[in-house]
Amino acid sequence: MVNQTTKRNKLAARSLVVCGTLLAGTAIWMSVINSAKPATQTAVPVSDNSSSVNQSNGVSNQSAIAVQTPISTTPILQQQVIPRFRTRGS
Amino acid sequence: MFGLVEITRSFTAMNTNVEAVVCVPSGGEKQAENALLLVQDIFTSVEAALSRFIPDSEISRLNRSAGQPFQASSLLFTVMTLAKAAAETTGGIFDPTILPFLMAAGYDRSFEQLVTQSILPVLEIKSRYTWRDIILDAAASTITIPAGAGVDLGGIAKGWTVDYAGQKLKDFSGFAIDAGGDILLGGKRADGSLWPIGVVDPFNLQENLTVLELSDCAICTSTTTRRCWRLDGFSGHHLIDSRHGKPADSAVVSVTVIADSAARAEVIAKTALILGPDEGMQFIHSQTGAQGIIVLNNGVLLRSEETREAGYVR
Repeated sequence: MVNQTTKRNKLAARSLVVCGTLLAGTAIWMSVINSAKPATQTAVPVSDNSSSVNQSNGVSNQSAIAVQTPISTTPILQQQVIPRFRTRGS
Repeated sequence: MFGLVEITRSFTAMNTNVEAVVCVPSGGEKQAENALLLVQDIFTSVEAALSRFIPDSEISRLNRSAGQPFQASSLLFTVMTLAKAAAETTGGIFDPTILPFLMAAGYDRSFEQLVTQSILPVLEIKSRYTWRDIILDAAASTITIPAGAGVDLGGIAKGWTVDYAGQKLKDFSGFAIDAGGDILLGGKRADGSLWPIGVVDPFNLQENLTVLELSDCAICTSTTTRRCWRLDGFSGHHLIDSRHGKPADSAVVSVTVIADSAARAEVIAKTALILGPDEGMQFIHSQTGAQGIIVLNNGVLLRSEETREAGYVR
């Protein structure tokens, strides 16, 4: 009985070691994959068929939802970057 | 890109701090300073025309002339046209005719006066008009609002001003305008990097939820934690839900939106906040190119896919 319990414990411990090794390996692999990703990811298509320009003052009279220019956003992964501006909200 | 310097000008306008930056080669400081002065002049003149807290402003005169055609300047007509288009886009969630509701909620004067003076909210509203009742006559350049109605461009005028001022800076290799957190970004910084923007944690204003590196876009946040007040048990904030005329009471505390213009980002953020978490995020995703971060009152964050890899500190 004692021997069986010991054997079972050893088996369980071995399984844990295997699982742990697999997890650690996966984590290292994921971090390598992630670090290899390019920083820039978003490219937004340009489509604007509703804007017009007031010739007298150069002000665009475009609709509130008209897309005018492409947007380039690059989420960053580092925490240490000091923001130049902050969206305080209104 | 090297050899560039960033020239900055800070000033107060529209009851907030404004900071504008341009990147120029060394020796181009004078050109930069002139451009930044122009930006300040634009903010000053738009505020003088469109602030409802200035009795002689054009919009105050428009509100006083409700019921009859008002001869509008190109500026007022342009922003009113944009506001009406925004109202249509948002199904009336954004509505410039909410002025009577803002007054009823207690926001009847400039915010810095609101927090220092005693006011008595007037909760009775006798008439209810919507953006559909605003008549714009482009040929005559007149605006007509019904008698008893009133308009407020507070939810879009600042963003529009940021966009308009930004057009004056577009020839610089990099520029940024931050008007109280309504931010427009063009090109890159003097060192060639993108603009790092902190999204403020609404529960701890000293902290950032995330920092995003951005360029050629605008980012704006709408939140119930600013411009709010409490009077004799009455809680108010400036984000009015036009469907019932009272300050929005959704589970959303703040919405940050990235879009191609500050006016769009401002309107989309405000609308998403009023609509609530699910409808709000759906609305953001329905807007071409828009991305958003929604913070709920229980601290939960909802994010557009494009912002997911940002490093969150909470």
